[in-house]
Amino acid sequence: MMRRGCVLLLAVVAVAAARPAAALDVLMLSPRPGQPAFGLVHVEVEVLSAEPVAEVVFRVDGRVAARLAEPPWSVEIDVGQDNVGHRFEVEVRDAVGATAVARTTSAAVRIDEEIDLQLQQLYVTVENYSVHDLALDRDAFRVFDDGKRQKIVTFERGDAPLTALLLLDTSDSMRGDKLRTAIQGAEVFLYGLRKLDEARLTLVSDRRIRDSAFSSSADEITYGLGSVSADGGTALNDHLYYALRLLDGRQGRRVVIVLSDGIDTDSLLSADDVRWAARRSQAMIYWIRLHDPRTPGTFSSSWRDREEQADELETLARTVTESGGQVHEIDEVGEAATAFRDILQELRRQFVLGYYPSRNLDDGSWHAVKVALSGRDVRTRDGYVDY
Amino acid sequence: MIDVPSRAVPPPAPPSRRGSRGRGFLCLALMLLLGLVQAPPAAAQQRDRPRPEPPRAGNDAPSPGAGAGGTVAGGVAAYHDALEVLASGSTTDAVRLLATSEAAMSVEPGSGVARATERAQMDLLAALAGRDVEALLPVLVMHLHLFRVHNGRREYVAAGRHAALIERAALLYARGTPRHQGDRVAAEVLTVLGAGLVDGGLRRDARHILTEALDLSPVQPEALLVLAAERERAGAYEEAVGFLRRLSMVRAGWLEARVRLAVNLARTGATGEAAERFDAMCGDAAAGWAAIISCEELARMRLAAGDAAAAERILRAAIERFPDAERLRLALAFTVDRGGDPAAARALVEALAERPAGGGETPRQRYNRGTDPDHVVQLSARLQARAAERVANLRAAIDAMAAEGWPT
Repeated sequence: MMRRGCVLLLAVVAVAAARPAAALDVLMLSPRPGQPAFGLVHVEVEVLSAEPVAEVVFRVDGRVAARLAEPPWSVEIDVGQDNVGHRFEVEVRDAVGATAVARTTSAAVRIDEEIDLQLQQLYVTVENYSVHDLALDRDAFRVFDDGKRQKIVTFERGDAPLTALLLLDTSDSMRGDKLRTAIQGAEVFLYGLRKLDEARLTLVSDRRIRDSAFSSSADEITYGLGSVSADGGTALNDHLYYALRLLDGRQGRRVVIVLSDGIDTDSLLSADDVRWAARRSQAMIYWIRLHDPRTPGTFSSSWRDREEQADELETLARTVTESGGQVHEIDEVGEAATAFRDILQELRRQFVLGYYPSRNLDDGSWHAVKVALSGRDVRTRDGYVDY
Repeated sequence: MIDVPSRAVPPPAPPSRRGSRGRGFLCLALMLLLGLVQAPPAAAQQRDRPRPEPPRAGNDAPSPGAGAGGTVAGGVAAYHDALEVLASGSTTDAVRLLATSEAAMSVEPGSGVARATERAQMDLLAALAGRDVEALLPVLVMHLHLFRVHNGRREYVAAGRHAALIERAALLYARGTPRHQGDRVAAEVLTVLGAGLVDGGLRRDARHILTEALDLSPVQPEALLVLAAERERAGAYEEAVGFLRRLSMVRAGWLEARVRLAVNLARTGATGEAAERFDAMCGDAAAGWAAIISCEELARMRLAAGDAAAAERILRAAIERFPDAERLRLALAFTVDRGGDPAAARALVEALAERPAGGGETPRQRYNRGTDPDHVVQLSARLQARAAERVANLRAAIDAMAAEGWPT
């Protein structure tokens, strides 16, 4: 009996020793340190506890603002409209009486200060989508930024408005019926837009042949296209850069859709330059890649020899994938309409996840991003440049 | 362009002339066999001259199904007719006659009939050269016309047949004339042919022909330019620089040669010299498209060297001089972007988007399109003028040969 009691005591001591020093911890997810706080402020913490949580107390400027006994551990607190800093404190107490505290302080806004919240948005495509995926919510997704899990602060499904720029190759190789068919394909996309969506149709060869304004009206975008004819070489890289930077100034989900064989004869910018710009853009790139009847690797121009041309095609495809988009291979331009339709359908089924990176250095470093969904394959951009 | 009929059946053309060299006249012979050839113009009909005998039967004899030995004889006869018309002073009619005779043909090239016909045809040209080598010049120009017609229609087999004949006859001409003068003219013929082959995408053949032209005349300017552009396109930048340096010695003012030399110097790592050349052209508003490219490339070099501010200065100054050059504005946006000001880049792109789309050929497309066709057009015109002066030589040579009997 005496011996059994000693064993039990040792076991208790061992368990106690094995328990991590921080068996209870709390992380402040929102608001972020130094950010201004006005009116209703979303305060949210993540609780890491080995024991059941008994209570979470939210205090602002020393006063208790809310108490919660069960998750989610978030509340909306009205802090008023004064331009002052506030102290936020969240205290967690577990079932065995242990406590942990997280604190943060908001800042007043200087009048000349530009607020940059650095919200990162991820457009997430769930592969092999089914109707059941409509029920997926933010808790189903896990976002990792440089390997660290992030709190998803905004969540939208694919009906979130989108802004698309359609870039159609209008070079010599698209003369006649090919161009007409390509435009008809683009129209499938444009006439499938919803009220809050916007698009722009840019026809390019070695120059812009025709460039609509951003509009929600497909009629407006496609007005006068009947008179357009294909002409000239191809400067795809230059115009992809143009598209990405134009979209930077737009709101919401941003998409570039390129219809081209990808053979770039005239660009000043390289595919690496486009990749550089794409990594600094939140836009996704889709490439409807029209099969090039020439033997692969045999085409060259005065600006790019065969090897360079092959490298550029590879880089372009990699850029598309890194952006979270996709390459749609088509054998002939008649398949463009289907490709445009598929892309629109995919966009409608996407999830848009927003988060504030837990580590922002503004140093131009690359942040690798990963999104996980239990048991499913998902596609999103590979990362972003922190600046 | 002379209006000549198309082939009745487009050939299953392999894009290489090498395989078709020396296959020339099978089509013509078969067409004659089938009675499809048009009657020659009146000038030819009025001449009463002996017809050559058909070659001996042997390995090169036509197959029985092709109609015994008449095929080769018919082909040669049609060629005689064309030469007669040519000697009467009408290149256009001669071209039309030969093209018509080729148009209805659809036979496998390279057969024994074709080889025999081509040999007979070359023998005829050799005989002409033996009489008076200058008589070859109108014939060469006629074949250049025909080459261009077929090449323009992507009828590569037919184009290749004429190219092969032009090559051989040009070399024949060079051998038969006083060295420097003959070599120079033959080189000009080959240069016009080589430029046409480049246009047709037959680059390997073009390289061969243009190299032959330079063997004959090492500083033939158009050959140097066309060959440099071909080498550049193939990624052989060192070779391109070599040709362009030679060209700069004889045509220092050619805009295209200057900008191509700078571009290729930069590619071969001679960035200092390239930058100097770009700088000189970039500041020269009269250099037009070449100046715009020079500014773009110079700015790009500065950016690559980490000097975004210098690149920006170059581009802003260039935009002042060439306000309609969109590419300069895009280059500026990218430069300020790389320089760390994405907001300014976006503003520049947005301003660019406000400008009307359209406009003509861009400088970069002009550069990529190939060498200035005016150079070759002018060269071709000079050859035609010289050939017109030699029609009398052709007339005399044909008459003499007709009197003595055509070669068999």
